[in-house]
Amino acid sequence: MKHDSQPHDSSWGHVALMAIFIVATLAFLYDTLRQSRQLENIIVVLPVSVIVLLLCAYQLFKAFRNRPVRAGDRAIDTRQEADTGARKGLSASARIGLLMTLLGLYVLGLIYFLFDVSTFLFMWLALLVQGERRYVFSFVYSLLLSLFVIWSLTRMMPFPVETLLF
Amino acid sequence: MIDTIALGAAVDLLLGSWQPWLVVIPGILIGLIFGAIPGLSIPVAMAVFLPLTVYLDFMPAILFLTAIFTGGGFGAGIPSILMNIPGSASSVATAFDGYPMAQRGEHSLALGLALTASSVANAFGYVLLMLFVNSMADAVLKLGPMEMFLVAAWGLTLIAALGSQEFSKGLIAGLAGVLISAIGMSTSGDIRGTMGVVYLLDGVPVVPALIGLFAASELFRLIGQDYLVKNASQRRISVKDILAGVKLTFKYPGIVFRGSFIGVLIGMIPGVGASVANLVSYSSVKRHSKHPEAFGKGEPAGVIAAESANSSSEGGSMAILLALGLPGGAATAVMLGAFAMHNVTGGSRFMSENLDIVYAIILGNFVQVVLLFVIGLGFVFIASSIVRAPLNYLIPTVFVMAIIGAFTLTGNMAGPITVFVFSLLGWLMRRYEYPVAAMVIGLLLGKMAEGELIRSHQISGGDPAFLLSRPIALVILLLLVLSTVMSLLKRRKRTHAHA
Repeated sequence: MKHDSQPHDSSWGHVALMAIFIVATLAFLYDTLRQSRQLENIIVVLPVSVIVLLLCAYQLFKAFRNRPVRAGDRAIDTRQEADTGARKGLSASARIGLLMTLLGLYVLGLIYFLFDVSTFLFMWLALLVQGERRYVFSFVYSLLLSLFVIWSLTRMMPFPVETLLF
Repeated sequence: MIDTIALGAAVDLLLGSWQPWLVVIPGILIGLIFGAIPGLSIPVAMAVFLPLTVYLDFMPAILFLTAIFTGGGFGAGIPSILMNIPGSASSVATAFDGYPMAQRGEHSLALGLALTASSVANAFGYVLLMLFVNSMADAVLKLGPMEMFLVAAWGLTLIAALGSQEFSKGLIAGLAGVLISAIGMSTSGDIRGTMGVVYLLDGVPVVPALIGLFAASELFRLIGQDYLVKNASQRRISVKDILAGVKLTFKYPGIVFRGSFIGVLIGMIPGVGASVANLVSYSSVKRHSKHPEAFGKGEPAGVIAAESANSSSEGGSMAILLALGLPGGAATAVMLGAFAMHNVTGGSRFMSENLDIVYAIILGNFVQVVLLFVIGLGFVFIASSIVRAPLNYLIPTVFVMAIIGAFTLTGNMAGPITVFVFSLLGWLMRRYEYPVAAMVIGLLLGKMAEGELIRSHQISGGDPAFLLSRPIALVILLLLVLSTVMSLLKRRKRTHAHA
């Protein structure tokens, strides 16, 4: 059991996740204390933050004791690809990275652009990233799905949303 | 316990006109569809269709909304089983065993189990409501902030029961969830951790966060795979397997009963409801099982425990709505809106003066349960076809549904942004074996625990002896300590056995 979990705990990715938890907890604790030190404000945040920081420190200690290595992350990638029976072509990690980026751009598109166009572009590009090569079919599917979803949204919401067509 | 004259009047009320029944089937279908799409939830469905109820009489209006409630309660379990994406917080625990069953080609069986457990437990909840509606309401009135805090704390100890390999990782995830739930305006009026973002003043929206944590960690993991079920021969949709699931549920009467009972009890507590009931029931059944190691790997009892609790909690929340006029959650709050639109105020006076209507609502729900079972059989058959959908199409489609669904929930960009941020976090957590379910529990219960703790502190003046004057709180505390210690001891024993 322990042997199996070692690559996870001793990878730089795990160290980065712990760093995110620690920085976010410290920032939140600092902001809470800055706002007010009254008992009502810190009754939960202070003790919980301290426990989280101690546990993260313990995880970091374990990670550094085993010396974090890039091989740890590579082992996870390899195992995931074996688990999922990944197709040939782009690696699963590359696809995940691209899809994450697309998802972020999609949310930005909803904020600064148009709902229907952003949804269509996300759908179509995500299909291409996923290895779809039937360009016309994927184009039509993305178009129809986007139109249906955004039309339903405009019917449901009591206020207008930014769209090209509705 | 039952006023037979009022019961007779209720039967007359229901059978005197066809109008109340006309809205039940559409209501169940709406509930199933909204529940099954991650991001769209029962309260959203009820809110969207609430204006329609203005044109209906009171009885059909309430039957329509309770039909949505009933359909949605089960509908939310469908994506949990098929895609490991809970349709709402009430079906988080359904995914623990439902999804592993689906992965090994037992999706039809799991859906049959969930549908039957939901239907039976829903009926059970309403039986209890019919028998004990007044005493249930009295019991809830005895719960003060101290008891509510302990209930929330008990819920948080469920983190210990979740199947993370390492207890410390589960604790980090759960407590980080508690901290995230504290973002926004505190009970004392201080604004914490918003980084100046206006959207965060009301806190992090929980359902979009839940969708991000669960959906992304699963969808990103599935990238590169062709279908949800790897083995082509197991991708068939089988009525026989769905019916086998129906039959199998009745082999676990104790679990259905326990889940239903837990669901009704927790459903009665305002602000807790189905989202906690399914987790408490799951961990309780796992703890008492002779083979707890099978849970999380596709154990049918896990699906039954979760689904029976979340469905029966509807009866509990309706009891409080009818007897006290208090909404236990978002869905009953919308229903309270329908009450107001028809100039009806729930509460003890409504109960005493309109007992026939209360019984009619309960009896109407028995019929809804039967209809849910029949319609649900057809619905799960269609929903199961998702295992035949190629994942390269399914993954972006679900992402679009989740993002747009989150927008409808919050009504602004806070929903989609939350889904995205928690998508990344969920993927990272899952990659390094931190249980995302523990973070969801923290998110769900953190705010409530803090609010109730502050109120307890204010009432008691900080005197710990106050606890001794609260017998219900002492019992809950005892149960909390016992269940946590037992859970930790069992975990330790298992670790030693594996070593």
